[in-house]
Parts: sequence; structure tokens; C-alpha cells
Amino acid sequence: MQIKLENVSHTYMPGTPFETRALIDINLTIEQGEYLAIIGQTGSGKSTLVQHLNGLLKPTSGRILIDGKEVDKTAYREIRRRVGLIFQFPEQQLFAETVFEDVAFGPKNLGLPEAEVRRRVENAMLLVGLDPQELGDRSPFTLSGGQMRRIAMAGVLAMEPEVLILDEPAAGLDPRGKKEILDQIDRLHREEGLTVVLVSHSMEDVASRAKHLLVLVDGRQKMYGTPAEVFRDGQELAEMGLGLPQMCLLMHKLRAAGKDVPTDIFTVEDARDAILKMLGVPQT
Amino acid sequence: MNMFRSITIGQYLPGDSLLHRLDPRAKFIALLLFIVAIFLVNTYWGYLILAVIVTTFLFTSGIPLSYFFRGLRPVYYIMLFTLLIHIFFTKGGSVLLRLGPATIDSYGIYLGFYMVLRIIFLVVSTSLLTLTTSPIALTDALEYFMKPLSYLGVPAHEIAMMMTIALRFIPTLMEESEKIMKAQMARGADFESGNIINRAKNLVPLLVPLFVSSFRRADELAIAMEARCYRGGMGRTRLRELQATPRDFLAVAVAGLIIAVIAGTGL
Repeated sequence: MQIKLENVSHTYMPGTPFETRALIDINLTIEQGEYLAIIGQTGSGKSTLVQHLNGLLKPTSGRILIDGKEVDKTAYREIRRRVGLIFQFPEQQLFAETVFEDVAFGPKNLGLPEAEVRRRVENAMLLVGLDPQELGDRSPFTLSGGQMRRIAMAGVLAMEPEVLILDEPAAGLDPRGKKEILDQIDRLHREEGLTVVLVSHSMEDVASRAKHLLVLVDGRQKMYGTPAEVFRDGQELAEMGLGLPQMCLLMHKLRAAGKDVPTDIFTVEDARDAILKMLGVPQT
Repeated sequence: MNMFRSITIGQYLPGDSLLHRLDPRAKFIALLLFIVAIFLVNTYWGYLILAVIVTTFLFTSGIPLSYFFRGLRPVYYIMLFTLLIHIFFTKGGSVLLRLGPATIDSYGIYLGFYMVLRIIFLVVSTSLLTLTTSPIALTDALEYFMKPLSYLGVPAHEIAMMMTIALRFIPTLMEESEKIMKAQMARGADFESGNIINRAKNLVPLLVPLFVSSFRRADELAIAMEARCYRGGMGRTRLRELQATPRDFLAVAVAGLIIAVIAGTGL
């Protein structure tokens, strides 16, 4: 499915002294199979933006088109089924007595038959790397933080959405947990063909993973493009308070020192290859 | 889904008007006296005097009028209800209209509007207090008034602290409910339709996480307070001491004067 935003703006509490303009004039198209990262500092409107993508928030002005059709009231249920949204710290929304019950909440709300619910729950748990036999009957509140987060993710995946939106999925995890979660999302994108929208404040996390980046500053879209395009101008990003990924920064510095290296490099491996090439060392 | 954000009854708005600067204790006493005056008033002329006073404060308080009246929206229904009850059920005076067995009497209409005015004055004057006084200042004032009770063993400081904490966490809890509601709605939960039993059942996915996080938060707060050596009111000093000025005494005196005038002249 394709999601298209046309001149979308959102204002919280309009007409009161607490009025805040969270989003201003956003134009964006999310194609089938996209892997989009939305980057910005705290308060830049990232979370507000993604809540528009599944109808939890309605734009104050502008329109949202899904597969070319404007979203109206009757379509919200359908859209929430097709667009799965995983909030920040999703483990805080767990409520059921058992893990199985919690993951089954979504599919049950869809009114699916029991056998199909069971299939989806087990499938979703396997997708996030948890064993349904081992954990299914445990209380979600007895599990570790990382496991609880996976269960909450499974709860959304069990709806079998076509688009998966994740708001800071790695927040508060240690480096290993972070990498595991992000790798898992990559896998869902690659193997299950899910369209992914990832919200993050960290360039490092998303640069090597996403196909496109959208940079938000104070509710406005400042930059949009492939990682290579967005990171071409390091200066501009630094001025917005958003740093470059470390390897990209290294390449920019080498370039500034007069070395001939590409700047669209985001991983240590690529950086090694680029430097070896620069030094003229033959590569194996 | 901004249902919680739209509730603004009496939500404090920082400002720098006379009302904002008055000592919260003076505002409290003056408000109490003013409420007494509202109940003493017998004639529409008396209400006119009160109306002049209230609107003067409302216009000088710096609170946007649209914001003020939007916050009163839930009260409109109570006013309408009061008016209708009096019009149809209060008997006396001359019969103005006969609808089958029901009649509308002149005294009913008189009393209906009279009661509605009373409600308006009560709500407007109390919201003027809460709109111009921060919750912290309000509980400070309450603690001050409860201090004599602490000699009788009433934990005045603890009660005030509990109120401060409760008020402090209302917006947090609302934000959190909204977030959890949205998260469950994203999983197809429905909070808005169905009969009353189903609706109550549907609240479980909201209430359980809300309780879990509230307990966790309470625990963290207790630890944070103990880590900073909090041990109740004994020997505790204040960051902001309440300091009454002549202006505050004047405010209370003026409120007293209003009562005296109304009671004395029988307005």
C-alpha cells in the first residue's frame, strides 16, 4: 500500500494558550516496500507524524491518501489493521494474564477464528525471536524488559500489517539489545516484505539500514532523500543539532584533509574498504 | 483522540495580574467570603453588583475569555438542567402556561434563573481562583490553614504533600492514558462503542497498564524522595515562604465589606 501526505499540518489544543504547532506542511509519499527513517530531536514532531499514518491523529489541515484514496472515518479500522504502529516503550501497554493472551488481543479484535488467532500469535512470536511454547503461558510481567518489548512488538505483528511503524524501538536498550531489535526489523523488512517506518533520534542507528531519511526540525521537513544524499552536507545537519554517523564523519574529515574518499559510508566495514582503497592496498 | 487535552476546567495559567500576585491564603479567604455573599444575595440588584466585581477581575486577570468559557462547557448542562427543573416543578405565582397536567409558573421561572445565576457566580469565582493560583500555592495555603489541626494529631503537612503530588500527576496520568489508549486502538481495541458492560470490559487493556505504571511511578517517587532525606513535615523549611502584604489584608477586608453591604441593605 502507498501512503501519501499532502500539506499535512497538526496543531495541538488550537485556540488555547497551550496551542502548539507540532507539524507544519508535511509532504511525503511512502511507497510499498519502503524503509523510511524519520529523524529529529525530541519535540520535532516525529511521534505526531507517525500517528497520522494509521489514523490515530487527524491532520488539522492537509490530507492523507492511502492508495490514492482520502482517508475518512469509516476507513480507520481497516487502516489500523493494515498499518501496525508500535509506540515508544511498548512494554508499558501489556495487560493480559498470559503472553499468549496479550499477543492475541489484536487478532481477536479483528474477529478471527480461534485457530487463525493461534497461528498468528505463534508466528508473530517466532518473528520476534521468542518461543511460543516456552513463554506462551507465562505472565508478561515476569519477563525481562527486552522480552516484554518483543512481546509488545509481537502483539502488533500478529495483526499481520502491511506497514510497520516503530517509534524509537531501541530506546532504553543496551547496545546489544538495540542491535538485536534493529536487526530483527531489518529482517522483517527483507524477508516478510514489510514496509517499515522507523522513528529515531539517532543517525547512527538508521543510516546503514533505511532506504530514505526524513529529517524533521521543529515540525517542518528539513531534508528528505537517501542516506547518501542527506549526509552529503554534514555541516547543515550539525547546525540542526543532529550529528553524522561516526564513519560518515570520518570520511568527511578525510575529504577535508584532501583525501579522495566517498562520503556515503555508514558502517565500519565499508569505511575499512574505502580507506584501504584510498591507500592503494589491494583488497581480498 | 485529544479527549483529555480538552478538559481545562480551572487549569492554572501563569500570569502577572493582581489576582496572580495576591497571597493564596488571602485569595482563599476572600473567595470563601465572596461565596457567602453569593448565597446572601436576595435580589437581581445584588447580583448586578457581584457581576460588576467578577467581570472586573475576569477582564484584568489576563485569561483569554475564549479559554475561560471553553473550560466552563461541562457546567452549561448543569445550568440548563437546573433551569428546566425549576421551570417545570416549582409552583407559585401566576400560571403562565398550561401543557396538559403540567404548568409553568412565574415563580418557577424567577427561581430557575435565580439559581442559574448563583451557579454561574460560584463557578466563575472559583475558577478565577484556580486559574490564577498554581496548585503548589493552593496546597501551601491549605497546609497553612490546617496547621492548627496538627496539634490535634492531624498530619497537616502529609495531607498537603499528598495533594501536591496528586495534582502534579494528573497531567502525567492523562498523557499516559491517552498513550495507552492509542496503543491499544492501534491493535484494534474499541473504546467508543458497545453497551455499557462491553465498554467496561474494554477498559481492562487500558486500566491494567495504567495501574502497573502508577505503582511503579509511586515506588520510584518514594525512593527519590527518601534519597533526598524526606521525612515528613518535622523541621522542614520552605523554598517559598508565604508572605502576606497589606494588599492581601485589603483584599480580605474588601470581600468582608461586600458581605456587610449586601446583608445590611438586604440586596
